[in-house]
Amino acid sequence: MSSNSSALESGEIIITSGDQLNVENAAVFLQHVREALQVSKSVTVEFEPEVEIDITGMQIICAACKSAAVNGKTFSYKNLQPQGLSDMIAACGAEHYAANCKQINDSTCIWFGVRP
Amino acid sequence: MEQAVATYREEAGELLAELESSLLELEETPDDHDLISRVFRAMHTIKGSGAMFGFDEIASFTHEVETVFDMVRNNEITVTKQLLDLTLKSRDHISYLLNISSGEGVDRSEGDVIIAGLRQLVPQTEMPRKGSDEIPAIQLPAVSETEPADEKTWRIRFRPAPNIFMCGTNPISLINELRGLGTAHVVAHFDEIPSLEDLVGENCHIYWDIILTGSRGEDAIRDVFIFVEDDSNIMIELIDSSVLIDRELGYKKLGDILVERGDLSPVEMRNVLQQQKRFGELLVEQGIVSQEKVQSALVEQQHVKSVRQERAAASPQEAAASIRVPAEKLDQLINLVGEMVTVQAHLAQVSSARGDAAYIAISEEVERLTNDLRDTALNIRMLPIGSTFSKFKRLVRDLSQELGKEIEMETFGAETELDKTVIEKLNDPLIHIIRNSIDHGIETPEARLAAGKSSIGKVCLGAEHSGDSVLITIRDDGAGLDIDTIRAKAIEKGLISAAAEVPDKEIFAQIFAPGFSTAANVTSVSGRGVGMDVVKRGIDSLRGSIGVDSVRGRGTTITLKIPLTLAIVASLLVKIGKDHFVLPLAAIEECVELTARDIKNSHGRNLANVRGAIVPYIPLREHFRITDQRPEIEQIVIADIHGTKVGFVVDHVVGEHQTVIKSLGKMYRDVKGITGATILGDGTVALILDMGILLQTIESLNHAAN
Repeated sequence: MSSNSSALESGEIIITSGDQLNVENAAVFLQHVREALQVSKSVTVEFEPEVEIDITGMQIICAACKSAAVNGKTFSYKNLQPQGLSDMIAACGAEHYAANCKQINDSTCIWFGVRP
Repeated sequence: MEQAVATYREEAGELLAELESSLLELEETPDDHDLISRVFRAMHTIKGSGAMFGFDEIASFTHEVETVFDMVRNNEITVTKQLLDLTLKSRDHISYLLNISSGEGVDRSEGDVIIAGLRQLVPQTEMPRKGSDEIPAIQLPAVSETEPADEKTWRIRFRPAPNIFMCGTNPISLINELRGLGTAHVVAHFDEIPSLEDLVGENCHIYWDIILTGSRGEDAIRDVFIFVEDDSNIMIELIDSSVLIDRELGYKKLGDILVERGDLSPVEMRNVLQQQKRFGELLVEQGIVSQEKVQSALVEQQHVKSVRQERAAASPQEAAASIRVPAEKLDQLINLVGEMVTVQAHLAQVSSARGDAAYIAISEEVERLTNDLRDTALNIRMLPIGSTFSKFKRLVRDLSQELGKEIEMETFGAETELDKTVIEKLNDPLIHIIRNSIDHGIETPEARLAAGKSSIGKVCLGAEHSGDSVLITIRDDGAGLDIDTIRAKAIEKGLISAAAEVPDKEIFAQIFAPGFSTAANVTSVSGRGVGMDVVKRGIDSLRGSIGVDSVRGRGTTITLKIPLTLAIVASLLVKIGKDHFVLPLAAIEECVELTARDIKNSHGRNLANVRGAIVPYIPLREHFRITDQRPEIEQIVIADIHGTKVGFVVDHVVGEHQTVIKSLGKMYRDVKGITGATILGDGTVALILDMGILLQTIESLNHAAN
């Protein structure tokens, strides 16, 4: 299953992660995110519970989050942080970065920080 | 840095000494894996620290030898005599490399010969040649986790090439490999990720700071990046080690870390510091350094602090057990203690003269503290003599090979402690005695077998305490001294009279006379009649004595009696007329009175009857030509000098005295019988008498007069 996107009546766009968010299909996911943030003020990613994520996936998420913040839009995800993302945050050493993200007023990054 | 380099030189010197003794032990027990590991570890540490401090020659040379010993460790090659010979030569070559100054040209010829020799010992498959003249470099095997090694902390900044994924490499795999080398803190930097519009999804825009603590060296870290190093930007810096730099428990300030990393300029740091806010916050607020970089520096700070605290907690005793102090500081301490002892004696004298109980009480307290201080200070300079024993093992090994003899060396009492200056000054005399034993004492294997002895000769070097002296014994089971030849030679040289009945010990003692040699042939090792004279002078300068005992065909034993320390000695203070003299207490047995009647009864022969035993005495008043009024009752201080009881007549015995030895000026260097001087409490000077030399001098004078 690959990444896909759909628009809600509210204008919010939901992008599904698919099973893999890695270098092999980063281009597809990037395209979905770019298009969604161009047309919508609110973009939500819906992760597959068992999604595999690598650095390329994280980079797209980070770049999208920054762009959304700059343009006053919302870029977030639904439900719990998937295990694949948690693992990659730990492996990558991203948790230190996530503590005070400049893009979101020095708050904990909603993507790479620890969620309550 | 200079201090760190000096510390490296010092520690490498110690490691080389340990290496030498381990190799010599290994020669006796070639299967001892502990020894093999010890050799490997010594090499490993010399190499690793050498690279760290810019001793690249040492690092690259030691790497080759270490590699061979790693094969020994892994049972890939065995310990052979040839391997040990080459490794001992390697040790000497490392010592040479260590001692040449950085400006001097390095002579690599010896090192190349050694490496070529080592190469021959290794199975060819183990050492792939890169080029005909190139010395092969071998990948170091993994150091086992149980092996104790110095923990080092490294700061690594890894900026992968943007196309790293396209090359099939996942940076996370590399980071995980680094994690496998020790304790790592990884901080990813996302600040260079471009905007969504500019992002190339397949490129890597993240870079990392990794703070790694582990026992593996820089080579192991670089190995992780071996396939990406050409395109990636990799910076590896040593920031902490258990053996160097900074032994504080804390760590650098945040600003210092950022400046070191190049993330902040010193000027920016100063400007920010002038404001009264948390440094990191200010940097981020002012947009000088990104939050990520501050966070990364804080991670490093916390990491190193934790490592240092764990290290201190893991070895609290080690941390507190010893510190390295330059020898000259100890010498300075001893000099100051010497001055303190003199001042304390003055205080005691003044307070006693005043008769004020309060002053006397203070003086006694000062005396007690001074004595404790003196003993502690002298103890600090005490070193186990064993540190020099390994040098002599090497000497015996090399000389016996050179002379075609089979000789084993045994040692005992290596833990016996002596003043460091004494140990240093013992080196030359011991070398001469041992060379003599090997060259003239121990016979060839054939001669030994013919004499019914084992073909392997033995030289035993040992040390033991004896009162306030140390007895150093050098014993061999060789041919022994030929007393007839020595007597004949001594008579020929006019050292003894042909008619005189001279005890064996005195005849043996003639071997220490200048130019005395009975050797028919002069060899490269000995026979010129110079060495034993050096021994005599060396031991005399230590206020020591030499005893020789030998049995023809069975061997020779030379015993050196050396005072524990040269700085302060327990003495007997005596007075003749208005002059004070000091006699070392160690040899003194008792004091008896000498009346005018006793002198008259001895009929000018200077002999006293001490409880039935006749003791010859030397009237020091006459010897020093002191013309003051002689007291009615004089005192004979009876001493044991090389087994002979001799009395020294003085006017009064003042009492025991802690003598701080001051050397005499150059003009008095040749005055026989006086080894130095000391300053008494009232500021007067007392001469320190060398009773042995005094006795010899007077005997010679009498001999000449007769």
